[in-house]
Amino acid sequence: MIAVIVSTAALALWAILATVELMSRDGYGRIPDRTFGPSPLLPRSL
Amino acid sequence: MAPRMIFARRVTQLLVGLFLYGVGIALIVRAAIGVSPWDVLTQGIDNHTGLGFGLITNLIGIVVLLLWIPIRQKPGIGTVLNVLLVGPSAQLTLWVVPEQDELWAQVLVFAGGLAIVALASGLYIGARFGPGPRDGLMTGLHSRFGIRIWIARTAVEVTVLLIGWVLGGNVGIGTLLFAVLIGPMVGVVLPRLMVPAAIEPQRKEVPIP
Repeated sequence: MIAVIVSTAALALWAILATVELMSRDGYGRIPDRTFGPSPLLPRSL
Repeated sequence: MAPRMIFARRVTQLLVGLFLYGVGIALIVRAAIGVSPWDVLTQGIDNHTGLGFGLITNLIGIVVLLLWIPIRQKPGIGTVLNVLLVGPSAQLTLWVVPEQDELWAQVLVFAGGLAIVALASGLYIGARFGPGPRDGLMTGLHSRFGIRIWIARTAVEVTVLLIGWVLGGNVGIGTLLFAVLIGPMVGVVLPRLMVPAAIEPQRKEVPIP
């Protein structure tokens, strides 16, 4: 029973986090910059 | 965020992540529909030695870490703690959680274990204290010999899977699902769990001539 409860809670937590993350992205699926600076995905020369 | 707070968050994420990683792989073991390739090897060795899943997880971690020497990889504190902590938390969970014998519970516990492994991976990778020994082996093969990461990963995981299967590890639909789903499941939550490396000053706008 404990495994079922923990599993359900973990799935819900993962789903909430994934939904929040995906909803924070723009229409192109790009990850917004949350690193107090330029995105590490951008080339440094830009 | 102040540097001290960032460091505290990194340490907390690392420890919680590694503990949860062990919980996740133990739940997948208890779901009994197939485990990840590395855990197939662990189960196979456990079948023949009886040392216990947790201890063998530690021992495989040590052996894999030794393989970092010829490929000239430098472990982080996260790598060393990964070797030490995942095994005990997995063993603890295996003691608490019995094997599931109804199909709905097996599927649910497998999915829950997968979600925990994804969250745990996001936590400890996001802490930036170094990769686990198994992931570092694959990225090390890439950086040392130029082998593409997906080829290194596939070669290593198929090898350990075959050895584990021959030794009697549990290969099943869960093994395939783990291999296919764990990457995307970690990838979607990792940006949310990544700790900022440092507060970087904003770069000046350079006018385009």
